[in-house]
Amino acid sequence: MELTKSSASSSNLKELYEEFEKEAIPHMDTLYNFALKMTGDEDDADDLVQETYLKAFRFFDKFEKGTNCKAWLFRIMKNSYINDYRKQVKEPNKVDYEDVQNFYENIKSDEVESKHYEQDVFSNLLDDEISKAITELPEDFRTVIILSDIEGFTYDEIADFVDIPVGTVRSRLHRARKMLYSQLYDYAKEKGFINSGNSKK
Amino acid sequence: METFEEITSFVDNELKDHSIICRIKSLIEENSAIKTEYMRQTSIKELLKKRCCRANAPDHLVTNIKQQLYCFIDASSKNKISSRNRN
Repeated sequence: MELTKSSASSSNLKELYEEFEKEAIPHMDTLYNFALKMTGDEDDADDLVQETYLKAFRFFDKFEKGTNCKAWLFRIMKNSYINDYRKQVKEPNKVDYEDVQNFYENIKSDEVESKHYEQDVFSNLLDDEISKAITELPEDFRTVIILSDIEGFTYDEIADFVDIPVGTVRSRLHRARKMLYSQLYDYAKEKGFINSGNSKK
Repeated sequence: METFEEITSFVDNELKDHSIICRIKSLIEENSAIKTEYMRQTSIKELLKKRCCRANAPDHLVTNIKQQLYCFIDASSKNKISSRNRN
């Protein structure tokens, strides 16, 4: 990406960079982690973070001091992801929510309770299988689950980053967890961690 | 708000109203479907928290981004000097 700030003087640019280093650079780990979970690929995550930071510097004079810089960077990254990255990448097989809905409702509750959930069932899954299940979520759902359950952001923060109402954050999280549960349940069953006799009604 | 979505807020500690929190707690104790929903959501949240490690930006990426920004600032300074000399 080419930087163009020809109108700014070099001393202004240096001041701007100092400010940028203080405000934006400290959020790079969070953005990289999000990019990695969104793309599922280290090189793509590198490109996405680099693109985001170069764009952010280009428009840093437009950033309002005192507002949430992390949220601003997330919005730039999301736009970069949608406009540049997603166009080039063939989407992997996505989970169909309607299929999940039926499956989820039909898993017997008593059988899962007796297994103490993740300790006995999901804990045997490999990290790769968990990552794959996340990657296969539709993008809107993947975004909120990463920001909430991995990054630990509040609903208000996520709403600010993604630019959606808090109610939509909650609803997407609810559905995302349902989809993940079904996906991981399938993996656990395939691996024999769940008895096939008591999986569905 | 639908009850199952209230469970989501409860799991995430996002409910502020004490009366709603009490209602959800007693629903979890008394209603098996609600309890199952609560346990499923909690299990997923806990699993992701424990198993999805956060990755830090690799050093080469941080260096690369900073270098590109330095180069740009440096190039801008040189351009300015050479345009002054021309004038």
